[in-house]
Amino acid sequence: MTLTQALILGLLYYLANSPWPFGGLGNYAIIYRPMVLGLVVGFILGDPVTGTIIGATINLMYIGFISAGGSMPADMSLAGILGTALAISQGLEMNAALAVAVPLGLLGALVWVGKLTFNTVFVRLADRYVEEGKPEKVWIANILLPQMVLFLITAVPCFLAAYYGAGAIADLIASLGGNFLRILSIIGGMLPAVGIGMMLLAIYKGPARIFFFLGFLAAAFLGLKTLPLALIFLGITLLYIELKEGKDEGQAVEDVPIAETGALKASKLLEPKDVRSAWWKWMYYFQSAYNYERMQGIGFLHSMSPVLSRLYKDDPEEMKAAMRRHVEFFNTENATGSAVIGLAAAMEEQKKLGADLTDEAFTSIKTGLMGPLAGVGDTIWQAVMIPLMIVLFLGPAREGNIGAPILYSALFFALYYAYGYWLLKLGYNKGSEAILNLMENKAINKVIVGAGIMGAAVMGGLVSQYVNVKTAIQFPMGGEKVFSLQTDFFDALVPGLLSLLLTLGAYALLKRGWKAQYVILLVIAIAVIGGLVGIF
Amino acid sequence: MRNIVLARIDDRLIHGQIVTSWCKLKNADVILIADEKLPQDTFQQRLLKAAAPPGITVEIRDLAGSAEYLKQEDAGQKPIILLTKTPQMMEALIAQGVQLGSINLGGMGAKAGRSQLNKNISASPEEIASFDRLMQSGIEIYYQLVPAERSTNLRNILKGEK
Repeated sequence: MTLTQALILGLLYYLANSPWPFGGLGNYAIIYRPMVLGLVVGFILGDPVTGTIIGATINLMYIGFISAGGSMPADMSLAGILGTALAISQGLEMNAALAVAVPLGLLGALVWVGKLTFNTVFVRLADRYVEEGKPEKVWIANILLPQMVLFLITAVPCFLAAYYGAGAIADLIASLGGNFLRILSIIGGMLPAVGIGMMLLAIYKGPARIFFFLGFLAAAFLGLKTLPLALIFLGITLLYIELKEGKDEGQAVEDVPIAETGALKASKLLEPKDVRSAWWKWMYYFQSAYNYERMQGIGFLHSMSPVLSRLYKDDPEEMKAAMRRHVEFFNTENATGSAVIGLAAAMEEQKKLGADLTDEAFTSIKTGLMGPLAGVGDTIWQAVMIPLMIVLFLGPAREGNIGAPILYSALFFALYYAYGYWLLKLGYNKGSEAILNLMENKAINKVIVGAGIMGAAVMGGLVSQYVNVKTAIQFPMGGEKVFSLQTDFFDALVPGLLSLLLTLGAYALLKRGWKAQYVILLVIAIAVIGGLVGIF
Repeated sequence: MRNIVLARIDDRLIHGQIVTSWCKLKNADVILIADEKLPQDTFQQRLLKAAAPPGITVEIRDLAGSAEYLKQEDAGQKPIILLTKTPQMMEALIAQGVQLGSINLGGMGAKAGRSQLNKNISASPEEIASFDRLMQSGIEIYYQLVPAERSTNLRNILKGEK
């Protein structure tokens, strides 16, 4: 690896954790994912096809990872970058690369904690800008300084690890010999069971359980790949939902005219571009200065700055009061939170027009909405859409199709921003009642249930294709003949049965409250011991 | 006595961590929110009910109503997640005869009058006093945002503070 390549990898790790180029959760769903990072690292190191294959393999581990409310179990971006870089530059085979990447991901979670702890410092700075009544300066506390810190704690260590670490790890593996490499490969073949087990934790219930087995059997016996499997089960799921839940008609969101919501009057104080500018700031920088004290408080204030500048530029006292009410503790899901930005902009406008809206009214509506909206938003995006879309494109990516991560990224970006913009408009034009009506709409639940069922089927297929547990046990049958437990028994019975059992075992432990890290360690221990004594 | 599988203090009540992890891990059928103000706030009630995952019933009751509900016998032993915004509400429920073995501390956001105890927990002097009384009565209070994270005994967090 050249110095330049290592430097670019460091920069890439920074970008994966920064708001650029796709925005807050846009980045988190796109260039934070090993499947996409694999392609980018592959380009940097001159082998995009291998990069995509390795990235997709590493991504298997992280399908079920959810970061909700400021928690982060592991850093899949570091695992994706360094794992892929190691595999390409040192010629490591993909299962071995996965086995090396997973501990790196656990290490990377420290960066997250460090960031949220350090960013607390910028709360003091933001508070100072509030007391000065200067919304135009908030970007310094929200973007400039936190991003400089983030650059230091991400780009520098990743560069060092890539430049000096890759060779050292490869030398170590080489010196330990072929048996070690074989065991690494066994570990890598078994680990995806834990990743899939984590995903099952979210979707394995009710009818989805049957669909999980159906998906597994379809892949095991018919050899169906992920995409055809997903399409077939999409049809079956739609049919199922229609038959099962078709009766309780989800009522459409009613267009409640502004006058009927009582609170809001039509008005023209804000230019459309003010609201749009607030929204873009929210989509990109909502979590740029994420910290343990106020969470997204600075980001919310920064987003509101175009609105506040327009409304209160000639009224310093009211400006300070307005800034104070938006720098408070706030924490929600990015795209769904667009509705709150729209609503808060509309409320500020109404207040300026003379509506009787106290600070208390702002706080209670913001804090009231943020939890429930995060509940719905995290479910839709983190628990359903991102894993489902990743799973759909993972199959082709794993076979070296570099179009898969690109198409995934484009599709996600378009959906995500269309959804966010729609909610912004809903919050701004129609107010809180419309947000409530939307949340009460049963159609959202139908989509979630349907996606869970279809997702379970595809996860079943993934187990068959990508979890790789094979026993090496053989019995001499006299003469040249041997009876191989794997090929003569399991493969003849149900191909991939051991992989299925391992996945269900990992799921059962997670379900009993085991931490993912411990399940990973247990699987590694089983692989190592089994590999040494000749079971695998 | 109904089957409480998780008693949690979290001032955001129903949100991403509850919906995406706790409800699933605990197989909850019911979320009971005990709060004195919410039963009068129809907007918040509708919002919280809409935010719950499909198939989960949300009960929103005041102190007396919550205690009465929890003390009822339930032959089916439906798993219940109990949510309150403050430790005082947990204390009050216990005073009304609700039995709790342990309490999960999920989130108490920074606001005026509260000082920060750790990353996600801020508490006022009154709230800390309430924590102390709860722990003295033998109830284990542990801080844990999501099941995937390690849990920490509140005593250790308070010790770190002093």
